Amino acid sequence: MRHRRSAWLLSVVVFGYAFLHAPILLLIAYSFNESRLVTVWTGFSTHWYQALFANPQLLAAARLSLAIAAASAGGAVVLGTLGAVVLARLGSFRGRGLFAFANAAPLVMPEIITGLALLLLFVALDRTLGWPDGRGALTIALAHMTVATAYASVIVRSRLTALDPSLEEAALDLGATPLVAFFLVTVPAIWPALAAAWLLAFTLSLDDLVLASFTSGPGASTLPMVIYSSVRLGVSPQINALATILVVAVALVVGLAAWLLRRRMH
Amino acid sequence: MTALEPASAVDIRAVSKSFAGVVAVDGVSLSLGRGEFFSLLGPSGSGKTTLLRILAGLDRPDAGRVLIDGIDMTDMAPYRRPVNLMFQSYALFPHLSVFDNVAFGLRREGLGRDTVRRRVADMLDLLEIGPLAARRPHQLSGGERQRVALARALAKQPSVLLLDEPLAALDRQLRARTQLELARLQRRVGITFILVTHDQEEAMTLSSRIAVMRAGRVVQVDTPRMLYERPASRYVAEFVGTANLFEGKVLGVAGGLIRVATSEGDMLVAADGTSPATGARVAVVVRPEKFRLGPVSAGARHNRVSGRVREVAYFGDHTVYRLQTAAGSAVRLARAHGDAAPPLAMDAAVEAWWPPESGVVLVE
Repeated sequence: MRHRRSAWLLSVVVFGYAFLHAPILLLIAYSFNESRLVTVWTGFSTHWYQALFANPQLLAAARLSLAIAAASAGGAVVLGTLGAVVLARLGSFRGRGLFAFANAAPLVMPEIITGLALLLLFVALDRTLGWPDGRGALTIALAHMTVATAYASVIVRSRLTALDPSLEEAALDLGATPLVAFFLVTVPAIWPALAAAWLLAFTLSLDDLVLASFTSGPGASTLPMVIYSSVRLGVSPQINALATILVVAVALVVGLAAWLLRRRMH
Repeated sequence: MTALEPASAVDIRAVSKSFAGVVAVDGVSLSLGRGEFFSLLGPSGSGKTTLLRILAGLDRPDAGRVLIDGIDMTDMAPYRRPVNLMFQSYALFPHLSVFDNVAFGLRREGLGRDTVRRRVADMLDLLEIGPLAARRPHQLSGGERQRVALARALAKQPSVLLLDEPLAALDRQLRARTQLELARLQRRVGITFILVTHDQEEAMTLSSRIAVMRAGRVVQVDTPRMLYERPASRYVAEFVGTANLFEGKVLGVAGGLIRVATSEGDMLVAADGTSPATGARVAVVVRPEKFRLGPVSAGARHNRVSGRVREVAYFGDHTVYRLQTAAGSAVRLARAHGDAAPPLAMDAAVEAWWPPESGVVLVE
């Protein structure tokens, strides 16, 4: 009986994973296809990877995406940590509920609405203040930061809640000002959460298409935008190669984030 | 002792604190001398830890003032107070070595490298944890952690050291040993210690004075001996040690003795300066070891209980018996071993008495 049941479970698991991941495995396999036609397998080759690294448009887009991801993740961790400290350490204050809601709202807000709202905001700001002077990498990074801040705040807050508050109190008691106590005691205790938040924000930014499409301007095309527009004109096997690299990179980053979050306090 | 006298290390004046409408500390006033080993004793929820946190500056009182060395510290941030707290959880910094934990407070004072190194080494020597300097807190045993926490709190040479249940996490044997060491340490460094505990034995062993707390109020401040021998209320009598309480009514005061009518007959208790009104409802407190067995001294017809042994609890150095009297009271009676007297058997009929100066009359 036990065996029969585990055979059944196994087939469910295999089918489930195949349903989720077979398209990606297919894509990875086809990135090593020799043929120019995406759907016909003719033999193993890595020349699409070579072609990819000789494609200046794609490489520029990749560099831009990495820069935006790094910058927006940095900003999101700083802002998210501030929000988390307020929610986890300041006790109750007037407007705490509203603040908690505002802090987490981007998690559930449809991206297309966030994107549209940010576009309107940037246009309005540009008209009245003359900043941010058109749209481009800066506005994309700001847009990514708004969403990633919410994620970062959730991750950091859960770690802070689990942290014994008497550690910070002991630092104060021993003569550290609140700021010194934060950097000497709190940050070392929660750094895995900070790193995980950064990595998660980084991947969120790296594969975002919707927000970037709304908030970018001429001359600033992120990698997902370039891929999306080129696929509409016909799939090049170069894109398969690029997607494979992205999948591997994101898997590594998310895996690292999960490992950091699971690590024990010491 | 007046508040202005510089000999007062800590002055707590009518301090109150409530959390979300629940009163934790209710109008507490205390004055502590320099070099005292003072305990706040009470059950959990009696406000003792809140009072300690108010002294440390981690909680702000709703009303009242706190003076340390004669200076008003009520509005002073915790990191500016000459006070250090040893946390119940020890709160050692997990990412720092024992050395760096102890050095943390000294480095905040901006002391030079060599000074810090020397003072930390002295502190580690004092607590005999020198060989552990390079270890991280998670590599230490409970007893070692306790010493590191103590060393860290003492390293800054505070005016007052606050200890929140410092021995609660240790096992029984280690606790007994550490108690003695703590008392020795306090005498050696000469700093005022304020200990919070729910363990009356611990408070009795260590303290020069004890404040017994109940529901946010201080109900009695006294030396351990006076708390035990002359409790001022039923609460203190029952919380500190074991007490037999005989309910009764005052018949009169004469010749320095109060005569009380109880269910166990009339009792005569030394008045000790008090004179309760005739007819007042009182309780007579008699500690279990005050009873004497055997033939009652000639002519004494008071302060006698007789009954049968219903329970025997052997403690090694003494035995506690529970007697059931004819009138229905349960009386606890302790006998030290070592005298030639044979132990009492279960169900044995026993007659016991106590001298008038061994009892206390509580008017409530």
